[in-house]
Amino acid sequence: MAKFILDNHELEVESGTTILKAARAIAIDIPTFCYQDRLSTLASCRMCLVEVEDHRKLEPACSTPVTEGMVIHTRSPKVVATREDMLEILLANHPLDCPICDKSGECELQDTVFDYGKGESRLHDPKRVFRTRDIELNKVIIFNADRCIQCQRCVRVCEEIVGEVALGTAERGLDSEITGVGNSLSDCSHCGNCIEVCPVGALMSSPYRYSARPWDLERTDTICTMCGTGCSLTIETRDGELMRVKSAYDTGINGELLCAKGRFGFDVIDGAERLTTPLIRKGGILTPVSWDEAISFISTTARSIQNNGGHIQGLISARQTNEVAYMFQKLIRHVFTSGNLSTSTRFTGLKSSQSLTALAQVMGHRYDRQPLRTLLQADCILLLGAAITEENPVSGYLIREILRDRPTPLFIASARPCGLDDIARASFRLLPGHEGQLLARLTTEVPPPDDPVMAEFISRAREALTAADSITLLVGTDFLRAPDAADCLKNIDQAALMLERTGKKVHVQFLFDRPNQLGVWDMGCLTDINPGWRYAKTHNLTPVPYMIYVLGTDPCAVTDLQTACLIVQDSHMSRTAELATVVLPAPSYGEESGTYTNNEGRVQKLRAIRPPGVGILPKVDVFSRISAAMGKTYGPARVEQIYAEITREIPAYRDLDIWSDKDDFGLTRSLPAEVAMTLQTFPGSFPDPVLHAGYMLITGDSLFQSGLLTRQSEILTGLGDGPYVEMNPGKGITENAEGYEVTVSRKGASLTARLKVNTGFPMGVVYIPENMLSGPPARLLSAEDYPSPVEVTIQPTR
Amino acid sequence: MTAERTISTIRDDLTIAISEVRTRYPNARSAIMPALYLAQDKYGTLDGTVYQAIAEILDVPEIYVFEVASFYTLYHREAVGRFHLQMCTNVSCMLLGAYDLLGHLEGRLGIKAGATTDDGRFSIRAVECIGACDRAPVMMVNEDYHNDLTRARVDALLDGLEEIDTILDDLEETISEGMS
Amino acid sequence: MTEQVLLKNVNNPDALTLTGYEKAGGYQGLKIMFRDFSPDEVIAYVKDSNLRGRGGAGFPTGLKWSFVPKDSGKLHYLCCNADEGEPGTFKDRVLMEKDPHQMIEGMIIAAYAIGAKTSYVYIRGEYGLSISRVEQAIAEAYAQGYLGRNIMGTDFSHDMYVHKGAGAYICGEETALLESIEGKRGQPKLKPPFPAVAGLYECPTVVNNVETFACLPHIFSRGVDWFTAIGPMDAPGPKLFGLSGQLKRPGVYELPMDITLGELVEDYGGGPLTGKFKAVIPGGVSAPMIPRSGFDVKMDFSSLAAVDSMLGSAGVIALDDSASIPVVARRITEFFSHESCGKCAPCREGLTWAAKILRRIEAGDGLPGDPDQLEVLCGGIFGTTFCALGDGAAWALRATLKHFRPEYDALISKNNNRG
Ligand SMILES: Cc1cc2nc3c(=O)[nH]c(=O)nc-3n(C[C@H](O)[C@H](O)[C@H](O)COP(=O)(O)O)c2cc1C
Ligand code: SF4
Ligand code: FES
Repeated sequence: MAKFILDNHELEVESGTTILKAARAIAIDIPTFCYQDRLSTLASCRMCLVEVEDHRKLEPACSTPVTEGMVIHTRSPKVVATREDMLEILLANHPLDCPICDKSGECELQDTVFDYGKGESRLHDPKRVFRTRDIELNKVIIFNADRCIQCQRCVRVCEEIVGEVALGTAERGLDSEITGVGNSLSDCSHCGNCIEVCPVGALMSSPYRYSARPWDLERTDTICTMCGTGCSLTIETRDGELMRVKSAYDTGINGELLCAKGRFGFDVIDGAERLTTPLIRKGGILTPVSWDEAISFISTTARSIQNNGGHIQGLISARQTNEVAYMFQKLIRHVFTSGNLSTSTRFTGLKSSQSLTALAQVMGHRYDRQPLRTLLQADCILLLGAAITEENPVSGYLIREILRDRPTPLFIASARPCGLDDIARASFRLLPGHEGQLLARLTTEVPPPDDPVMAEFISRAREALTAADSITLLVGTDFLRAPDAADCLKNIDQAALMLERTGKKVHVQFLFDRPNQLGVWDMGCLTDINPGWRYAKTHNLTPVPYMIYVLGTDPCAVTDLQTACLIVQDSHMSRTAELATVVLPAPSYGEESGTYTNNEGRVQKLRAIRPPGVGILPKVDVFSRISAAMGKTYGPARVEQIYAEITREIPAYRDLDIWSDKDDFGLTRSLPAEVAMTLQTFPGSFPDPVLHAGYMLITGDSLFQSGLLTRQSEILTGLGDGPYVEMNPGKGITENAEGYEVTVSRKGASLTARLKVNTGFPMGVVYIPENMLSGPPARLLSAEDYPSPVEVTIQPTR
Repeated sequence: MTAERTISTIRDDLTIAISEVRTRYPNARSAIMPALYLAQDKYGTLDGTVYQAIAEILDVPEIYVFEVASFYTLYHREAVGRFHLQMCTNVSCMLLGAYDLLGHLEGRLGIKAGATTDDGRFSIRAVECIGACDRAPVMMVNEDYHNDLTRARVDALLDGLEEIDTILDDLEETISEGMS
Repeated sequence: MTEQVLLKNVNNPDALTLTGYEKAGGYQGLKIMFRDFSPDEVIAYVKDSNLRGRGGAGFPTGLKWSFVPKDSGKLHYLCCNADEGEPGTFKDRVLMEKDPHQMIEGMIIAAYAIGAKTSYVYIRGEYGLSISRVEQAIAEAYAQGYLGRNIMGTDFSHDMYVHKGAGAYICGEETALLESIEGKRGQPKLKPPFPAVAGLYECPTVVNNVETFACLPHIFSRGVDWFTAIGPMDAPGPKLFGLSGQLKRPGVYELPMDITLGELVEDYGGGPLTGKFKAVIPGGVSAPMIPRSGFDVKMDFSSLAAVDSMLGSAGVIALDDSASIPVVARRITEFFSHESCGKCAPCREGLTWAAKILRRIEAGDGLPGDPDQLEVLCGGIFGTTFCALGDGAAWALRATLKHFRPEYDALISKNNNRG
């Protein structure tokens, strides 16, 4: 601890605390440009200079630690004069084009000059004009060199947090200019965090440029709908029209960071064709009808199915809110009296009751509901089966950020190479479905595998595990597509238990690719698993459901549904809606409030940015009307009331009152194991993971796409070079990757697209982004096998 | 100085030499500067293909290579003439007439400092102190220092260079004839 | 004439080879050191010698070495600063071209003292001859067992490499030099931590100047008492002065530091080229100029600091009556603005602006408020920049305004009369 005096306040802080932090803690403002808490300290802008008694020179507050007995002045005449001089010099060359600058009104330079600058400048010579035109660095990022003040925040965020190292600085001195390779950022991950950290109007978002003035915008704080990381963001609209997405520095798991999907993908809400009125198939044609007619059709059909001993299935997307999901399962369970409910048809490994019970055990009891930042403080981190930097980019940023300051051993085993491989102690390419086996090998005595790379990985990881007191296991969800998902889940549980028995703390968290996968499951949208992961008796599900009620998802894009009556409730037209018997228009993302539960188990508020269109009923209202028509009483209708019921019914959510509170979020609770772990041996055997002789197809989300949803985003669809098949084609082609295309085929289905060479892929594995696997190509994925065996031919592009 | 430089020809030309300098440092990034020199010695100038090739050989982000290439003035990102005349104009040389000599050079070659003659033979550059102030005014021609310059000595020097130039031309012609 | 120690071999071409150098008494200091000194004793001895760094700041060399932690668990590095970019400075080039082994011997002594396994000699890219001579000498030293594994049968091993600079004055600043060896743009690093604790590759590192290293063999071969008897108490030992500009006998001179500026330029430099001296820049262009009235100042660190200037690199540039101070100031300021690394705002923006005003004044478009604007800029830059480049630039410019304001005013009013 150090005692010192700051502007006449006697204070005491932990030694090592900088003057800036100490000052901010007691609300003394010191202006800064280059400083940002998250980034390495540069101390180059010199705005934060303060006076320390007995020091020869002024000291930068951002980088000078407080020491015992220091006497600091942040507003002495010398400091004030220096700030004025500094701003005067900085403004000498800065174009004063504030009237047309996007940043005006939220510009840190403008604000700082307002607060600390002098009214006028004594420097009158003509300004330097660097460039007369802005540079389009890529499709979403545009750069005005004259406005740049060289704070290097963009370069640092790109390298230290995003890990992209796409931005850099060219030339030197006054000619220094931020740029990418060849004056372009066309190959970067387009996350736009550089735009966000820019204190002035130098880096700008192309979709937003010149479109609005910040003071005209209405802001809604909400949650991203792209993946399970669950970033907080602010949607800014003008007259109900989407203008841009930003994120505030001090909110959410992400604190300002977003990925390309989150920052640029929100035009999805206005993409594709909106559904505006209920439709019923009449004479083979979907025909507009009234709500009353649609509701009565559904209730009558449902009643007759029940009377005839048939059953109804509910299918819900993992992008629905907790409130909608909770009420949906009530509709299916209590109104339609069915136990058949599922989320995410892509997880074919979850079809058996064995895997569902294993899932309930892991998710209900093993799963660690804690902030990722906390889990990343462990002594050793294992990242399994996750293409984290593509599927959960911001979670990846957090890992990079935390490991920069705290070099924890990180081990990565996944099929796709990922952007964190470069900071991993070891990384290893492992096919999805083998994660559990790998864990078993890491935690029990089994003979080492023949594969030398795997053997090396195992020995290094075991060493680190042994040395660690706390271990965090982050697991991607790709393995849930594999048929032996049940074994994998059990192995995860068992391995964690084995490690715990040696006195270690073990944290398990999944990296879901969908924003509310955890929440929708917590709400009980799983066959035989009631809200709160309570397992109930098995319904007989083998027969084909007479009716399938699909909410907000498009299963027919990837598979065939067999049923007599297909009900679709959705915001946009889809393949499934085209085939439906009844179509119910629904509010889209941003038109209804509710909550999401992210991968950490954090419940967060989703707020509407606009009301649903005329004639579109809230989803829960529709459930309620169906229920009434069937003569059943149904629960509450308002979001707050539904949520209150959730907090009463689901133990993990008990007392988590986020709607009446000023907080926007709350952490659900992990629950102790209900089923005592008795397993003594690992299920399954330990074959060496020999690759299939031919090619194996894997899928998952890519950097610019989240399932099928983002196909509606014009901006995201324009990023990257269009459809591709990613693989390591081996020597020969690797050298000259341009101009090849790949055909992937299986049992009559086939897909041809540009070859994207990635030498980080294991030979024999091909990756096709999930968004490309709809319609006929969806059949490339087999229902029985994942990864799916496929045929591959590579040929020069015709 | 070939126009046809591709990543793979650069790899063929430089991988061994770059890997050798790489061993002098604990990390690959440190070898960027010597690698750029190796490329410049080989090709005369540096460009995007060179940066990319070096980035691949050293397995570092390409932007690192470009950042370095553009920070330091001795890396040539634009072609310089066969004779690169670098006239020091810093204080000691200036006090002893460096600007006058620079003007004289410009007049004789018909180009301004910073430019290259159309025939690609001469480039003139005004440079900062090159550490030979006791023999000011000084000029470097490629790697060599020429001291105690006067107008007359500059003229003599240029005459000499023009002669060398003809000899070099002849040599090149003979070599290319010999090859064809 | 004073005994030539550092320059002993400048006229002895044999000293370029290792055998020639040994014949002239070379590698004796190193042998004595290995025989009689532990690393800690080397540091203590160098502290006793009161040797102060010859690179610019005059920091006590032994003290700097003593900051290197004993048990950091990391590799230690040694770097030789042979970037010599300060205008008016050329002494290190002479040392490397004429007597490379002297510097290498000094480096091995320093490496042993701080336990460095590897050293880099950072030589500016223009110094082609220095580079080849030093590389040649390093190769010979390896062959002779002065470098490499188990040097001279001890268990001390050391590798030495040349890192060629590529045209950036700022890389003479020691932390920028380290960044440059790391393969980055040469921009100074944040201090603290100081290089002695976290320097090259975040490992403990010492950076010293060529001439500093060159002094070391002699301290060990001839003893501390011999060394401290040369020159003033607080700045002992032989010192090289590079004389250039408008004087009759430019060149490198080896003298003790208690010589006065006047003696140096008159007696050794041979007096002004024409008329009288107007001012002298005593230590490279970062050092504020001293008008003729101040020529009795002694050429040591503290005496020069007392008159608001510095010894710097001891590159002495003389200006006679014919020199125009605003033009010299413009040239100096242009130099610094060209060499500013661009990292910190006041240096990057301020110096360029000052150069713009100075060019305007020189072109005959000066305005009466210009000197005041220059003062404003100097005030904004001095004491605020990240590294000493900006400070030096502002300090040097300010001195021209302080001592020669009438010259500016005259130039500006000529314009006003004209217009
Ligand atoms: C802008 C700037 C340029 C410098 N240039 C050099 C240089 O060219 N050579 C040098 O030895 N020191 C130079 N220095 C001083 C070094 O930072 C450092 O103090 C010196 O190398 C330490 O060596 P010494 O202790 O032996 O003097 C420079 C400092 C600054 C701020
Ligand atoms: S003073 Fe600032 S901009 Fe200038 S060289 Fe030093 S760090 Fe770079
Ligand atoms: S915030 Fe401290 S120097 Fe920029």
